Amino acid sequence: MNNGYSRPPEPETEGRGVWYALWTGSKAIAVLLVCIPIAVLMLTSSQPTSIPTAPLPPTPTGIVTLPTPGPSPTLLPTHQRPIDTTVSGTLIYVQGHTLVRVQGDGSPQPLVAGAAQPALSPNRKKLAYVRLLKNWSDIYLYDLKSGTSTLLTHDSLAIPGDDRTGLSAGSPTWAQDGRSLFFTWNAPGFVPGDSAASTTNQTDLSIYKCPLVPPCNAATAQLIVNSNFALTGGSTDPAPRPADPDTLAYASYAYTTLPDGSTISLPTLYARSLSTGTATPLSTQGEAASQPAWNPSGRELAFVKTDPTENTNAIYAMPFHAPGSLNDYAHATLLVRGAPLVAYPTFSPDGRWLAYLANDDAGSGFHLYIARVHLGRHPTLEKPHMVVRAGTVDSDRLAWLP
Amino acid sequence: MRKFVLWLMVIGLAGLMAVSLAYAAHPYVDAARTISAITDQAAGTRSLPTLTPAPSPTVDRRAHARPSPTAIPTAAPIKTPKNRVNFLILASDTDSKLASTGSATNTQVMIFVSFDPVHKQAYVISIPRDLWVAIPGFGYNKIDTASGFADIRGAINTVESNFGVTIDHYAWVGLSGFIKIIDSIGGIDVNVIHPMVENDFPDDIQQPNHPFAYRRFFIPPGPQHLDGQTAELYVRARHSDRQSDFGRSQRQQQVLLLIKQKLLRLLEAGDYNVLPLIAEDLGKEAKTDLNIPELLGLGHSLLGLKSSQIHRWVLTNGYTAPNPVEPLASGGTTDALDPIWERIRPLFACVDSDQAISGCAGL
Repeated sequence: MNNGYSRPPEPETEGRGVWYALWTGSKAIAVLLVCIPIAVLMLTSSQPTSIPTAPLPPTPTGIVTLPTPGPSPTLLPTHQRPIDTTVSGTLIYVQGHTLVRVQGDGSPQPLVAGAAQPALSPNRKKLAYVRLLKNWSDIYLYDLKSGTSTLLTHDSLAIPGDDRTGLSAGSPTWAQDGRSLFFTWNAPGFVPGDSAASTTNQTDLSIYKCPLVPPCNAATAQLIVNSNFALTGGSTDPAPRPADPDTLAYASYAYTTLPDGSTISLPTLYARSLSTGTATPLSTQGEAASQPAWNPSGRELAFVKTDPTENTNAIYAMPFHAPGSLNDYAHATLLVRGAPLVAYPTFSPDGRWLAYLANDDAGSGFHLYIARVHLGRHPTLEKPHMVVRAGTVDSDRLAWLP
Repeated sequence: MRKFVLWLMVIGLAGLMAVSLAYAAHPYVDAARTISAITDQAAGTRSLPTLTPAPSPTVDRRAHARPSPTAIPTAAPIKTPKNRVNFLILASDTDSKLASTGSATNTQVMIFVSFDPVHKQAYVISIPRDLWVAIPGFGYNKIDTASGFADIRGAINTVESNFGVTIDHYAWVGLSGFIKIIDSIGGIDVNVIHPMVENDFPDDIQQPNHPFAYRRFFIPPGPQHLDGQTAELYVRARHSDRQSDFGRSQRQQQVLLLIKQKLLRLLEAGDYNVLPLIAEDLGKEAKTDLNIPELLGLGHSLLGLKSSQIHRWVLTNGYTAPNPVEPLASGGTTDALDPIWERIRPLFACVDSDQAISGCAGL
């Protein structure tokens, strides 16, 4: 059965065996043994210096720290399996900057090239996606029936001959009514003729909302979450709560001092009331929670929590009681631990399955998995199935068609 | 008959070995050339190579230096114990831009390492690039310009005269060489720390004929599989990071550790074919006066050190004082870090002596 799996290219070994390794390897090792430790020594010898303070997002009132998952057997299978026959619908993932639909039998179908970050409309008829260009990115709408794309975002800053004047739009997500999109943007972007670019130009992401009638530009976009230009990275991952047009979850970055004294910009989850503008923290600052994903009922939220001192993270699920609180975060449950990394949890339309990406120790890219998920008081994830193996899937958002 | 068959087998095996050796020799020659370029052993000398095509400083660069004062204060040389080997580690990542203008390269990283092979201890002091010091023969300037005035020898002389130590060996590493390695090992999986948006990022790599070209880019946060080009954007960016150079160092550290991990994984899996590729990647991006046996010995010693055996200092708070108006010989002022010698010199004296075994922590 073709499951959409193509084996990564094997290293070229033509006629090159032990002799080759012994002769050339010993010399190369000599350099590597010195240069890499030296470079690591070199760079680990840097210590934090004092940095200017900047206003931080609202600090959670109660400190809730999720327990760090201890060693546990890896949940990841070592080989690919066909999609469980009880799974309904199809997944859309990104492969080599091409949107790809994987059918129930695992066969891939390319949809749009030069694209990333797919998001399915509530009526399941359109995909919003990001087209990546060298100096900027824009959001397009793809009609699943006709196969045609329409440009949505268009900033007025583009100046012929100046590649820096385009903006970077990303993370498109549909509003519940399907008539507008939330997305991230670094408006106002580059200011032509400004020599002090590093201090006056916008390099943080803010969250905007635009109606689906092009053009979406600085005049028509509605600013939802302002990053305030704090050089933190800004806010990203907008996720409107299902069946709740007033609540938007997102991740906002702020600088935090770690126990070892180093300073780093880490994400915190927030729920924002779109009517009042009030932002409520959903995770403890410094816990590095991001990539919020609602289950279809809107009663639970999956997210990724990163260990900032290690290159590892994990997917958790927590209950949500509007308008949100850290009490819900205290009841978060580990679903799957990265070995070392997991990303982009995405619920199936019926809420019974969770798709996500995960890599392994080989460090050669991300595999696409699906697993039965049981939420409620004691959320659990069953043994996952590998749908697409690393080398054929980008680490990017997933969309699940019914 | 049996003896005849035995002889046939022996002759066949010998022939097979000869063919194997002949085949192996071809890539070896290439790799050996690369290694020779790195270790500077091809000419059979230990003369210091140049970082740039044009070692002579430009008129403009000299104009930034003060006229040489009548007496530049220098530290008295410290008698280095025989069981010590001192290194100066230099690094830069903007060679192509400066080389295209005919200017010499400034060092962006300068680290003094005193290695005690007897007690298996390493003492590492990071010297900030903005430290305002006397550069022998060129007056006062930031220490990172020393190599621009007089190449690697200038950097070594400056460190020796200001800190009172003897440099036995040096190593220069180009960061972009490590980035090239990323492609050779098939990319790395990085957890991107935070959204990276840059408006004015140097585009000198993709547009080598336009060394001052700029571009924009955006790297989403979270786990990503980065190729060499994207990883280069990630580790060189600093405008989108409030911590600027330090934030960049954090990301460089993150990526370097991932390179090391992935390389070890490949070697553990027996994929030695990656080594010649990496040697080639480093060929233009590493220079040292160490020969191959010394490299092997040092590499083995360094890899064997535990973190508790590596003692690190950074000459920042307490060792230096910011001075935003350090005068330039050409007029005007510049941002610099003034050294606090009464703290710096005792530190170097300690780490470069047997006193270090009992600790230099209080210095």
